[in-house]
Amino acid sequence: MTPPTSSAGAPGRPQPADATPSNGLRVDELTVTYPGGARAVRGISLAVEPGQCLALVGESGCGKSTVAKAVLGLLPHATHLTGSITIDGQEIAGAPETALRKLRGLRVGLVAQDPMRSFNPLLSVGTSVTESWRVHRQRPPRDAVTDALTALGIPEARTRSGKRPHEWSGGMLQRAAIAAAGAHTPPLIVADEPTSALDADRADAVLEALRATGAGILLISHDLHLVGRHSDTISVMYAGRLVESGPAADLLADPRHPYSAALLAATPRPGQGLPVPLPGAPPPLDQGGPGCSFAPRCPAVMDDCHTRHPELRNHLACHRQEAR
Amino acid sequence: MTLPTSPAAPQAAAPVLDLRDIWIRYGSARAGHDVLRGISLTVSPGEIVGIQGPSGCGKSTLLRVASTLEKPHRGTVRVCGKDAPRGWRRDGTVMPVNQNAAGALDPHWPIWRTITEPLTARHHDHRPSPAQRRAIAHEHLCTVGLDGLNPDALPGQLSGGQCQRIAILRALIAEPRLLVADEPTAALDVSVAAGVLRLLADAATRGIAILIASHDRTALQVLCHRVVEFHDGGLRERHGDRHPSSLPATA
Repeated sequence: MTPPTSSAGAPGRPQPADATPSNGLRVDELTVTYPGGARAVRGISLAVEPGQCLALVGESGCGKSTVAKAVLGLLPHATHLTGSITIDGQEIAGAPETALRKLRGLRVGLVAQDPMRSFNPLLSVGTSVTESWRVHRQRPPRDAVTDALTALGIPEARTRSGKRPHEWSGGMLQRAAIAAAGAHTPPLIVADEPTSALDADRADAVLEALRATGAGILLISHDLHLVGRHSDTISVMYAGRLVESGPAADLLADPRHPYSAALLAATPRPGQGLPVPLPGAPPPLDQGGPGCSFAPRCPAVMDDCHTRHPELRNHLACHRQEAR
Repeated sequence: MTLPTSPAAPQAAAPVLDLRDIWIRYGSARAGHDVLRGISLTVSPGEIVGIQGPSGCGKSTLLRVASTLEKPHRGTVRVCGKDAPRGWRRDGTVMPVNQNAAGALDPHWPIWRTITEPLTARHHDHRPSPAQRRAIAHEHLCTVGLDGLNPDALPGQLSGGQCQRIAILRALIAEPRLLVADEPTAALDVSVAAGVLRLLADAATRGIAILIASHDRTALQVLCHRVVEFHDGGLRERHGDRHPSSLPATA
């Protein structure tokens, strides 16, 4: 197993899709079609290096959770998947379940949305965390669970790990989930809305704990400001496609795509007055017209937008910006 | 910013909600736990007051007292200057909005029926016919950007954000004096939550007092005139972004 290394190259810079990282996650031209015909992901490419955090943001139904499920090999049977997903060079797309099972936990960890649901209420939290080893027929090293919980800022970890989930607060339990996901120091942790079930003031502590694992992180979220504080790169998804990617600070300070700008305006900011809602709703996933899928809701729409789909160039897919 | 007392805001009108020294105890008298320990809070007409605090601090309990669903063990609840008996909200003076709107709407009722039901309460002089109710519902749907929505749709056919806006429309349709909202945006996408915040702000400009609890500090900050925070069983108060001068002078 490759130990997580600190990011090579300049931190906070998005990796161009063609610069293959030797390890970590690499998704190439991924398309996912569900059995019902809904095409949730349409040709997405992204890369997460160990130690880096990439945030995938967008509204409900934009396909961000489908990307997370595809990376974990958790999509339902009969889902049609094209393109490639590799973790440390190992192909996941189309891999048999036995191979995927070996990957989960060892090469890729998962932190789910609601910790109260991801822990078995009948087992002590410590027992649930040791499952990370047992499921791979290993024995946890002595004090591994206690040490991991202490490292994530859980006071009196030894006593607490004997207690059951309902005796833990949501924020602490989510940190225990991070301890479980990081048990084998995997090069990648997928975190799907890890803080949406928690109090806002717990969210930062949880994401800091997640970063402290040193793993590459694919962070799925709809809270732009929260991910802005904790991720290196932000990729904005709309209707199954990436519309813009960039270093977190740059994208928040100067969003180039109208959708990124609209999403940012809809997020409350102190001193900025009431947030501005986005008009309309995202298109149904089983449809696909010729033009830009954001065109019906776009404030900067042009003629081209209705007839031709914008290609992702320089981490941006927008006709208006191409015209500049 | 922490303020020891409420600022001398231009609160000419008498408060819509006046909670004085509210105590609520859960469990037995001896081994119980005081959730609310002598809480006092007022909300004026057109004022939006936010409540924040960690899970389990008593936010929802305070909201249940404010919407007269729960009787305090000690203290007085006055709504529009009158002592509020339990179940006061049935006359439409106080309307609640819940976190889970989809669960709060009747799944078997078309949305026009849900939205306009408060208008059919016994104390209304002119109760509209079903045809009128359908037209009224359509009119109100247009005001919140849901023009395209069929008034005959059932809640199951709608998204969470649409359901939440419908729940708020229903709460506002009979022009209550006080709206009590518990985490109205927690289950929603940012893009949709913004619309719900604006809907609440609009209601306040019409003179409706709003008491809202949320985990989202920033949302409360931008929406509210005042934000009160649970602190050691008591309340600590600070300004919201909206200046008290934006309160309507009379209600």
